[in-house]
Amino acid sequence: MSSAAANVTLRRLHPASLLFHWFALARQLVFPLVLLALQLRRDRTDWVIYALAGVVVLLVIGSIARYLSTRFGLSEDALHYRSGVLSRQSRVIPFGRIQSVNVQQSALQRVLAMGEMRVETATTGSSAEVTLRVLRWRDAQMLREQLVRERRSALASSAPIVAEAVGATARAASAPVEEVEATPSMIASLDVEQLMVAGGTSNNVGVLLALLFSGCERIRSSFFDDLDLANGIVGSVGSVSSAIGGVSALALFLLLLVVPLLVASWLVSVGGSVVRYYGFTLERVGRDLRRRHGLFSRVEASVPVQRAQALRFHQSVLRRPFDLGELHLVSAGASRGGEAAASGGRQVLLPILKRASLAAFVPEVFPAASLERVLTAPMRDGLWRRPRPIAAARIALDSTISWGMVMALVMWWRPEWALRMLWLLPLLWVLAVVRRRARGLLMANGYVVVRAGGVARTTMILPEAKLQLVEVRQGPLQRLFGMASLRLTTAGTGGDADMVDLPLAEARSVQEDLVSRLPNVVRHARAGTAAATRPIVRSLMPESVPHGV
Amino acid sequence: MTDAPAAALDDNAREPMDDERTAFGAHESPDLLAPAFDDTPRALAPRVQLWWRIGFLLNAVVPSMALGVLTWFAFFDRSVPHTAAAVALPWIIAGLVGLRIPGRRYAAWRYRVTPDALRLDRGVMFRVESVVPYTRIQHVDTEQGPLERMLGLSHVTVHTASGSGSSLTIPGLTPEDGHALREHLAMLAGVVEPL
Repeated sequence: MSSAAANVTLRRLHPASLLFHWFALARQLVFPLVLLALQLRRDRTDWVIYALAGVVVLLVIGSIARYLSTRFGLSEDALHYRSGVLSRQSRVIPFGRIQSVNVQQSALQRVLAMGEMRVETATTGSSAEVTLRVLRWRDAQMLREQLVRERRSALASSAPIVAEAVGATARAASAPVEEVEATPSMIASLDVEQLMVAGGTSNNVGVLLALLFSGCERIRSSFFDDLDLANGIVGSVGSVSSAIGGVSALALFLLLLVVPLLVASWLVSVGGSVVRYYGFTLERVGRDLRRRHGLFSRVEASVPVQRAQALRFHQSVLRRPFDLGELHLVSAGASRGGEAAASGGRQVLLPILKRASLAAFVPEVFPAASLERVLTAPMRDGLWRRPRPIAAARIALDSTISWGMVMALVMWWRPEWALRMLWLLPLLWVLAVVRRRARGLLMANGYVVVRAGGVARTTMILPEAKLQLVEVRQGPLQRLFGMASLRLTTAGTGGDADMVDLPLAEARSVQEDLVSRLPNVVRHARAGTAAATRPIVRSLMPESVPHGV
Repeated sequence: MTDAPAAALDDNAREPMDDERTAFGAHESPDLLAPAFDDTPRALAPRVQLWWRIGFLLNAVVPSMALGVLTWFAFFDRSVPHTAAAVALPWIIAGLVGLRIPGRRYAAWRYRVTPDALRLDRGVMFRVESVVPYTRIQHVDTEQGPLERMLGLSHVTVHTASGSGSSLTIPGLTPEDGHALREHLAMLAGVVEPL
């Protein structure tokens, strides 16, 4: 990539960038401007208006300069990007280092047939990316295809370590093969009905609604008996048949206000899911996956399978009864501000998935994993390492202590409420038993599966070969019970898995087990094979790792 | 040494350490196959307790000033005894904590350079036993703050690619130990290709 920089033809973004930038600026400035206008109505001073005009002019000039200074282009082996007026930055991203290329369209961009492209690399941080905003939508898509193709062939040709020398010819040779491979094949698609189910079960508003309508009569009689407010809400909604006569004005008001609000926000989440994921498709393109969705603003994201650190299957409370869940992919080094960063380094791979088909889906991301039997095996099967039953006591004690602190606070404020809060303790203890039974860790075929959550449940699937750090942690209560937590850390943000309350000895042995199966160069060196410079190529790929099981 | 109880380590059955033991020969270059790297758990330099103690006291500076200012201006009618008490309170707490904690923390700290991984065992209330495979080490830093330089200490920070952004720090090493440890870990880590 050394000499290439000289003869790269750099080009500018689409001129409409200016428009979009001004639009974004205006949106940011609306609120301060309104405040200022209100202020000006009180004391009208000319200099404020001049200053304001000056600021606006400066911003406009600045944005024009920024537009003029922003250029990008492709050289033989890298993406070049240059931007900035006062502080200039220029980035060269070798194709092989590109982690993902996403193009997306907001609603406004869609009307104008524009789009933006975001290129992410594997390092963490805000400087880890290049955002091209905006390009013609067709151009963005073509550029994306080109970058993905280049990245693939760069990776393919760098696999043997000698590729540096013969890089050009290797790439030339492998290009047609990649071309054939690159015809996309559909893996999954979701229709509107599925998306409505996903949206309807996605947040906890539904839980609130269900609670309000079903169990409230019982709650009212035991817990909230003489709390005016709660009595109002719960009583009026719960016993609609009997309550019409005795409902107070306040309760009626709340009934008319709160319930429609809840229903409305539930509908919004259903609609939001449909708008966001409309026409969801997941395709395989070569080794990578590609995700496309969106009704108004469209997203087309490449999912970097090779950088995948973990899969996370999350079942919220409402999805448990239907055996549904959401599948996330945790990948290495998602930069801040990207879509992945919004959910903590994870990105949604499938917004809704049946638990039964999870096992069949895993190989799409981790080809070496054959976890069908494992994922469907019941916890009692002996495959799983689980906390001892006494762990329930530890969890119960833990939650009793935290609840006790809350109660102490309330006691100080409203003693009569605190006594009522005692009623919840048995519930917490039952929950402790449920939570203990839900926890489990399993190692099979070079993969670790960690399950947790009595009510909402999370299943993490981690390739052993991608573990970064394995820690045994012990809190004071755990020490008392002779238990420990096992924390498995991967290179992806939000890709940590915690197995809580294993017996200490077992946690340690799992720790040793996992570490001993990692690629270990020092052991090779000790055994007398090649010395310190022996490289392990693609040491992070699960396929190249000898599995213990 | 202080009255540090060894109770925190009951499960590990580790031999007690000589206080002034140096982990590595200061001048010999660490070799991959050097016999110096047996699996013995190594303790920190005892001086680290003093460093922690001073650290606790330094932590009291800002709260003490804030409390003082608050008491003087906001809560009471500018009474000198109240303000003095408010200023003193954080220092007293820091002093009490500083008496008890560093000794126990020191007793709980062990690091081991084993054939395949760096192992750190630490923590008094919350015990953590970390295993960092050498293949996962991205880079290693030695650092020395001004206070550490005065006390003749340094610390080594081991960075992995872990997404939670956590790095592991071994405090309380003599500068020679820190240097040798860094060189050694860097070499072990350099054997493999990074992420």
